[in-house]
Amino acid sequence: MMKVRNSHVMFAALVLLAVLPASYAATNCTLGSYEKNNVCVTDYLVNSANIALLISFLLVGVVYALAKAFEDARFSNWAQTHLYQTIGTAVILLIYLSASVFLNQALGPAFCSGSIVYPNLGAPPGGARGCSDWTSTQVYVKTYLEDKRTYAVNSARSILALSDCAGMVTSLSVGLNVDVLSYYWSPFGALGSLSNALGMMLTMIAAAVVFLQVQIAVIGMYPGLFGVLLPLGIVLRTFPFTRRAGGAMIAIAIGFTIILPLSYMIVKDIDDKYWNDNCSGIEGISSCWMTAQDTGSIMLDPLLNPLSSNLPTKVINKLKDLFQPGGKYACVAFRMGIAGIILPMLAYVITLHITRGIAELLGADIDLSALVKIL
Amino acid sequence: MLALAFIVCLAGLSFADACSVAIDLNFSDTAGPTSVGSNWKTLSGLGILISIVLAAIVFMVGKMLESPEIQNRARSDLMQTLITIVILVIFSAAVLAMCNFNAKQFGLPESNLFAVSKSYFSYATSIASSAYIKTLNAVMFTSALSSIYFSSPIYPFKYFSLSVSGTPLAGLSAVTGSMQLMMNFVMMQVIAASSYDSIFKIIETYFLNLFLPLGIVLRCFTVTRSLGGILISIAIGMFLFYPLLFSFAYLMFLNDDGTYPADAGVPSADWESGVHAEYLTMLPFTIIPSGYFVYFWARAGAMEGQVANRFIDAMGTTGDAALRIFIVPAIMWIVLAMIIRDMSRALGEEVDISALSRLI
Repeated sequence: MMKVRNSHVMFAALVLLAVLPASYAATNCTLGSYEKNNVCVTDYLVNSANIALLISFLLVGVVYALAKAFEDARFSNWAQTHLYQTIGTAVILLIYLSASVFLNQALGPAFCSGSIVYPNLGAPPGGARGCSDWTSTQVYVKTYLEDKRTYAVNSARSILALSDCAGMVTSLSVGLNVDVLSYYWSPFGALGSLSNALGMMLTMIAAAVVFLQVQIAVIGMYPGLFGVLLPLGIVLRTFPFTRRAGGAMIAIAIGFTIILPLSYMIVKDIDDKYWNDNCSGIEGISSCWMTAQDTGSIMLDPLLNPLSSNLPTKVINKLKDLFQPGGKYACVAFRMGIAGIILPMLAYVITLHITRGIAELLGADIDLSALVKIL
Repeated sequence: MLALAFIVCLAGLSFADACSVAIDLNFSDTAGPTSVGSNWKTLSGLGILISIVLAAIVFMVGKMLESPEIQNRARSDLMQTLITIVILVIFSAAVLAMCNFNAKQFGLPESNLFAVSKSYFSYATSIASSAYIKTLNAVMFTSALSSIYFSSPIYPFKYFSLSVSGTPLAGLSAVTGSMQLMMNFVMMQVIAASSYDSIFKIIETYFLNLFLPLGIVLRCFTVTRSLGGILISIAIGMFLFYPLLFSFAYLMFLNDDGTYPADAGVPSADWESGVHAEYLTMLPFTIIPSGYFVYFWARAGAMEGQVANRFIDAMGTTGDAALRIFIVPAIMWIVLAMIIRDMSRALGEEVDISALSRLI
């Protein structure tokens, strides 16, 4: 029984190790090479990973054979353990490559124009951008993040314009000189608190822009994770001293190329749902004069009606209008604060926890607390 | 105070190339990292000799006291000394291989892995410095603009005049607070990027010469074996894997066309010229009636655009720098720590070769 199981395992291992190099092949190039500027270039790193796996398998086989010949249980067990770990690496890699293909070619396009979290949601506002020319989940997520960054940048410009108007009016001082007498008066000094509120919003948007840029850069690292970290992890995993480190690298590559894009698709769904239900955007506020029109001449009211102006009440009412749920700046606050910072943070925490689980499966216990703190 | 003392000590150190420290032995040099008196090869040999002599003395004492326990312990320590020699030989081979390794075949920009990792640190430092200068420019530009005080007449008569004054661009200072906060973060990036390079220089030059010989001596004796293993694994692990991991980290940032990202140039501190230009633009408006409002209507949009562009550029560069300086290095440090921990566990234990010798 034991002999039958071992031979089945051996056969499976040989099949897997034969299939594994094929999975690295580019569309038009031979095994172990990739296309660069329409020319097939040898990928030494991927080839080294495959060779390291095969050599490791060969050496373990030799040790196992010798241990059996000399009836040494210790080396026999060591060789078996190492063999199962090598096979485990190959199996996990095969599952990873299959999952990657499934995510990019099947799951991603299927939910591109719909929703994972809210199946009845339908197409996102503005159409299903990026679905007709679908390439990969990574490109889709990168496009979504870049759209959010553009939204953040436009929001910052609009709030800066409003802040500029408020600042100009707040700092305005009217001077009256009659012979030797002078009188200076700041009619709109009370609007200073509006500037503080807008400053806080700009600080939040600044943090969102930086974090979005980091997220875009992390998603953009996909070729590096797949083409460098993964093969390097395989090479390191074949040596005893670096086995756990190699497992950690493989786990990180899997987590950031499969789990993270999937988490982002869920974040996008929640973002789109809120947008559908509550927001109409802040388009329209692009200059100070439009702001004045939009606020119904609040800024000019004391000049037009100096005796009956009720500026503080009108400002408070306008602030309520802008910042209440569904108000223009409430939408900005949601998209930047919740959808731009908190939900992606949650996606990263989930990704890192799953990465840690995968690493434990590969025999490595990573302490990712430092990475979580940095993010 | 400790950090200051460390920095002062650092200033007095001389650095050498990693491969020359690892391979060369300079008989004419008296004090450098490759000199006979300071190099890891001679110190390790001396350490091994000392360990053998001490183990032999312990064995003789055991014989004299007729204590089988002491004799067995001495025998075990002698055996571990031999194994340490083997470890040293394997490490020497690994270092030789690493120094002769042609990294260009793997698509790296230099042939030597140590040079590639230096390129990565230089690139990261340039990105951080660029982000800092951009943020500084944005803060200075915005602060200067928002503080320009403007006064213009409305009714400029001799005995009765009405004027308006203020800081028309004061509202732009709303971004200053966030940018000043960002400057703290960017400064941390600059410090971190510089520290990686400094750490690398120290590893290149001094880790082998300091930690390895000490670790070798300590590993040979039972009481200090685990500490010796830790020191050896720190020396070997940092020397071999720190440049290896950061070299391949650089490979992860290839452009789409296969070229390496160039070092970001240091932007010029052009905020002052921008403020002077705007000040000169503002001057004519001060003499026309209601010029305060006319100036704002004419120039506010352009100034908002300039401030917003600087703000967004600075934020974008900061985000890019964060990936290269914090996130990717954090992953590499996590992996490095795991390698060193595994090595120290293996090297700090008594290696049982009885089965291997039976096999042979």
